[in-house]
Amino acid sequence: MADSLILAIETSTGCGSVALTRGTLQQGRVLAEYTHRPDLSHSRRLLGSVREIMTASRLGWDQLDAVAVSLGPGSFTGLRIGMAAAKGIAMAAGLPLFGVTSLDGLACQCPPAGCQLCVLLDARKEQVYGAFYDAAAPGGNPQRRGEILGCTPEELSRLISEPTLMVGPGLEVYQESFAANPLITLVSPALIQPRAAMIGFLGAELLAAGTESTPAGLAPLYVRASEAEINLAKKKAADAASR
Amino acid sequence: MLILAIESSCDDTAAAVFDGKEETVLANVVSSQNEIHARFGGIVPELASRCHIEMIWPVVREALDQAGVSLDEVQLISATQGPGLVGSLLVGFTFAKSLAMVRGLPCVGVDHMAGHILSSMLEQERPEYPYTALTVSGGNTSLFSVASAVEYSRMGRTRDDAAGEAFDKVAKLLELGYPGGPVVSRLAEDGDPKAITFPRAWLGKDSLDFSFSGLKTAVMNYVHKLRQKGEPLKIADICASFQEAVVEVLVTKTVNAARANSHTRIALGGGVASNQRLRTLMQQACDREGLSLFVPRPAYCTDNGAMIALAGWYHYQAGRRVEWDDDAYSRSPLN
Repeated sequence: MADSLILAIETSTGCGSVALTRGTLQQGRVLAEYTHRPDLSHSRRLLGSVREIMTASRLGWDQLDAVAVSLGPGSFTGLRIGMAAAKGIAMAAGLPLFGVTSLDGLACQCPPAGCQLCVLLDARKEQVYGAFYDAAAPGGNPQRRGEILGCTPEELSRLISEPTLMVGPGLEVYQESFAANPLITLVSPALIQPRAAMIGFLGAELLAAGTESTPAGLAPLYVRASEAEINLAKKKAADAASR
Repeated sequence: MLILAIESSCDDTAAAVFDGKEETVLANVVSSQNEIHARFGGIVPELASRCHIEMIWPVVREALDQAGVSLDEVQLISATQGPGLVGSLLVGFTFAKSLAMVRGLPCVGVDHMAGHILSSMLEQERPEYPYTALTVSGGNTSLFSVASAVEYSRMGRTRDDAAGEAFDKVAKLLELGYPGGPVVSRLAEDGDPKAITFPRAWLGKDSLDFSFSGLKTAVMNYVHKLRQKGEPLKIADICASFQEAVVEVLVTKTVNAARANSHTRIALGGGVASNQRLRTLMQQACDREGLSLFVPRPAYCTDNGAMIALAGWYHYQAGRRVEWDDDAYSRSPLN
């Protein structure tokens, strides 16, 4: 299964992406990839794009080995549109479905820099989703270290105490928050955006590793609770304090 | 023709399998989220969407299993396209479109209102066209003139709260929990509907529109006054009198609408259509006026996949299809 054919969907940001990949990042290739940047709802272009890459590649659904989808973190609604499509395709085609972390896909796009990576996405509400990665060993992918964080850019910056390459679309908004930290080297956010091909390559690794596909209950990585839950917890804490 | 239908417009994930030729429901599965929203006293859209994405696969699977049908045998996919919570709709609608695209099947996007308008057609005793339909739920209260399976024109609608919304808000005021509608109706059984005179909003002699926010405020004022005086609340009487005010307006306006249409048949749909008092008083009014009343069983009143399958089947025959990049919508063009 090293050269498995994967249909991948990545909708964690306003930039929606679909791809067909064969094999893994190290030994594979992208057969087709459409990445849209304009701010048009994912629901108004995702399935049309999937159909287009299938047609352009002259591939049938029965030739696919698996479907891979971005788990996030990212835009809640965007992630659910991508996942609903991925689940529908997987059920209809009888294919395994694998979820891949959006930040892992971004980290894979970085050339080895010999230092740690910090990948970030805009989480709105003046926060970012971020994760740290060890520099990729030769022939390997960058390895995530620790939890995925949901915090302010300032909090993230304070965690950095060694030379760090910082990448991802989160920099479009928060570049200035990191400019003062001399350990951080910023990569233009235009260079590294979510790409479905990376989700496909990492999905192929999960398939090759014999990971069990559990499509029924697969859910996005939200990192953050819903506003309603946060407010309810705050109210409960306030009630407890006033008692 | 076997139809698989998906409904996810609000807080229930639902799927049904329907035999179009025989017009029979083979499976009708609903996964309710009431417990999840109860602690917030109302539906939280983000949590509803989070549930839908986890439930959509098992609910569709369950519907196929219950019907004893494999996906290979399904010939048409039908899904609610709107109105409702867009985040919720998108889960079911996108899933449905994807199934259809991969399987090479036609897919129909159904208006949720059409589902409720047609839901009485799921029963053995079904109305002939034309008929007057009252769709009444937590999200809508509207009257329609139904000319055929795919032609409906709106005659009136609520200008503020839906009837079911008023039930839920009164339940919240009386601290009866969520969803409050069924609890209010149950408590009303032991109360006197004439105990308290709450206002009825008629909105002009010939108006077929509704308004329930004034009634809700009247109940609030009544309750607050008693609470301020420290007097005990006769909950059953409040529930019965409130319910009577809602039901009386619904019945009168529906009968007026049928008369204005020169229709001899009335059909009900929507969650509040399973309210027993509404059914009783509407039946009495229809008997008095020489009208036939059609009310679906409760499982077809609340949100369900069967009505979306039926409406999808009719719209398919009328030539309707979705494009793969069609979007869900929050407001109904019918309403």
